[in-house]
Amino acid sequence: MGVAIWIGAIVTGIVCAAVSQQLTDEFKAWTPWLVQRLLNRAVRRLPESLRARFEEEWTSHIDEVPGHFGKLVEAAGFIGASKKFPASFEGERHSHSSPSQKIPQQDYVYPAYRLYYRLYRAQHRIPVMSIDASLRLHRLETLLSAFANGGRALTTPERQLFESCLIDLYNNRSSPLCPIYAEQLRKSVARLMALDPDEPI
Amino acid sequence: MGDEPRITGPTLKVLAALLSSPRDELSGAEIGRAAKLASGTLYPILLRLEGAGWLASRWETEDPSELGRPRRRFYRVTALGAKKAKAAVKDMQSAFGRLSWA
Repeated sequence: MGVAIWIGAIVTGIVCAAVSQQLTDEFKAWTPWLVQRLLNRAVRRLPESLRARFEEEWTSHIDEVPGHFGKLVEAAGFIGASKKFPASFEGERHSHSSPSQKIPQQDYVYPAYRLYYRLYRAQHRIPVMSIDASLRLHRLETLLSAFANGGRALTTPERQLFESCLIDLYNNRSSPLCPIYAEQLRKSVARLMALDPDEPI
Repeated sequence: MGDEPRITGPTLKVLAALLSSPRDELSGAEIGRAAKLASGTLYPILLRLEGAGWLASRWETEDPSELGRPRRRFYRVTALGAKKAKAAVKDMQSAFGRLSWA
């Protein structure tokens, strides 16, 4: 019985090794074709004037990436890149824009607001969007206060969120509400940093 | 030359990768590795910064058939780009204070 199990295990191992080797070979053989397909697709989405340049540039980029899987991932990334090319080329590209992209950025991704909105949604699950700026500000103050008093420890994602928020604030610094948000944010960070990270919410 | 590019975290990473490199110019793949950015994020930023005159790019001059690989396109920070990047970081720090956890 014991010998049969051993033989079975050895045979299974040999079969698995052969199959996985075959699959690996297949993957390696198909990768260049797949990469080329993804690259072509990404290039087709670009403005006419940029296609030749990026076809060559991205081909060399792929060439610099080691490993078949890495090449595939990078090539898939070019599809994403082709969707995010600067707005100045937007008119030349086939438009895939959603209606929300037509809303002025100053309002709809207002930096501090976005931060509070995300924190608030995470804690209370109540939408706080409003087109009324004063109402929005009032809600944000409430949110900020609730968050700052919550005793939450600053985790790495939260820090990253604050950092990205500060960068966004910088980009929208011409807005009259920006200094108010910036000051609130700074105070909240200071209060959060002073809190005991182990204190329960 | 286009509009001023928006400063974002990935934009700063790209500029930092180029400014901190011992070489004057880097290819897109090298910038991606140094800045730890995926190609989907990297190239729109490179093109935007180039459009604003913060970066300049050129094809390598060697013959691809001699190199045995496709020719690369190299990016470098222009004098304007270096000046603007430093000014942006300085503005950010003076407006909002230095981040203690950065």
